[in-house]
Amino acid sequence: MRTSIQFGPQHPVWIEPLRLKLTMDGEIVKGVDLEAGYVHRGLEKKFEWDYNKGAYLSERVCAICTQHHSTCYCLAVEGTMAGLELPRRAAIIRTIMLELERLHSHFLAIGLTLESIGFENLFMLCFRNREQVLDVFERTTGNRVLHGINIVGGVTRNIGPEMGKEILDFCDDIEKRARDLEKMIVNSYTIKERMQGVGVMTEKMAKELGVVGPVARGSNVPYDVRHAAPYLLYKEVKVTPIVEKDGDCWARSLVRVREIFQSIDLIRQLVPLLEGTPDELFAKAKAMPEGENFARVEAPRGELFYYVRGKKSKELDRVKIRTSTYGNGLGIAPLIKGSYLADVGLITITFDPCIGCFDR
Amino acid sequence: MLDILENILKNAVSKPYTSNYPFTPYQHFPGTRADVTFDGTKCILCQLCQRSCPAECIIIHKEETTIEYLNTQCIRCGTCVRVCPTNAISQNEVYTKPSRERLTIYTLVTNENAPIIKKRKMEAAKKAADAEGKPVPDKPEEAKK
Repeated sequence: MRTSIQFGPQHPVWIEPLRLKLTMDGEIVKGVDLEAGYVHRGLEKKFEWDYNKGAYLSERVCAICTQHHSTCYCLAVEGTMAGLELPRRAAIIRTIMLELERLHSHFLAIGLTLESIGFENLFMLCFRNREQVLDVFERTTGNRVLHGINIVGGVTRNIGPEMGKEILDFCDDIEKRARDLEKMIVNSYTIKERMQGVGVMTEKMAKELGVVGPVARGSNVPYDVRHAAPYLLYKEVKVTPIVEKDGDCWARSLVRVREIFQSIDLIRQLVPLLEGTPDELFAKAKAMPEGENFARVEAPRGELFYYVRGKKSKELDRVKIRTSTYGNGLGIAPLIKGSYLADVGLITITFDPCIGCFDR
Repeated sequence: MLDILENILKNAVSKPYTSNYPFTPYQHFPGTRADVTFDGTKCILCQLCQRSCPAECIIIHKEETTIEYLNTQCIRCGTCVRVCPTNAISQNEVYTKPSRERLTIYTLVTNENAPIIKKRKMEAAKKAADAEGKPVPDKPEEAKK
């Protein structure tokens, strides 16, 4: 006999609303129906206004990767304006902020994954470490979450030599904390047994579904926008994609753990580049946005895409956003099919779903 | 397994990491972007801040010469501070406490260099002069200049 179970929209595993209609045969899921759109806000329509205000609006698409959204938007709009060149210092500051953002997002994702299997102690430890990153954000940008330092043409706040030293000190501190955390997670027999072999996405499947970010990299697909199509300072600071072979929940989480150390390493390389760079933060635009352009950024959850079309006035004609969670959303249903009901929460949370991004 | 036990023991002995929030207020770092205050003696009512505000929380009433600031709608982005030509807007580092009311703040502009106030003053002076019956030649000439 088949029974249907409503998983969501309000479920403790996800903070945001997403509905899965599961058709069950005993304990095993036989059919999945994914329903999204509960937090649709019509942001793409709202983007058809002053392009300077759009940078603040793009931060509101997703609160976890605000810096990535606003950077991607600004890169896309800057491309449509003739004769606008981003100052080097602004590019370095943006890149540092992107890596810091990835750090705090991965701490959050790992914490929530552990919480979904009932490991609340480690969840709290992850969030304690995340708080350190948020403190750095408050020191440098003035806000903990919605930073608001990106504007079309540059950034609004500088990172001085003292702040640079502070960020380097923070890197040492957070690396020590992350090593402790890694030791606790990676060596834990219980967590490994719970997560290994659950929700396996093979390499072929990952390529067919077109998943991005840590989900793809966990399935042995070395796709990273920072490596494939470098932007900002990634042209100078080389990034090698971190790849795990197994494709299960454990591999996806391990990619995130290893990417934390990669981000810390990148920040260490980036901060010394600020020395000797002219104190120019902002380039004034001489032309209005005209023509079309797109930009790609590697957000913590994968590839983020912004398409912008200008009409030679202050208002933009069209902005299209393809968020990383939307790219990964296709992979949720095939993985759940055939798994146990108890694993549904764990499998979906290893995708690091951000429903605010998903629905826009 | 032993690592987590070590951690639990450490946590049991150490001080609590969290703070007792409503009773011990959160200490912000210097440079935090918080509320915006307007200086009525500097503002010239040019409406640049109103046009550039992403949250549309600044409304300038030119006729009443007042600035209406919707505190609860503000996103503390700092754009108005950047665009202001006379540095009449400043951002402080203290957040507003949670409140049940919409904290709308009205600021009366008293700057004599504001075009609308200047014009009104001149008109008033002209009226006064007309009432006396003796047209004052100095004032209209000043206005032309």
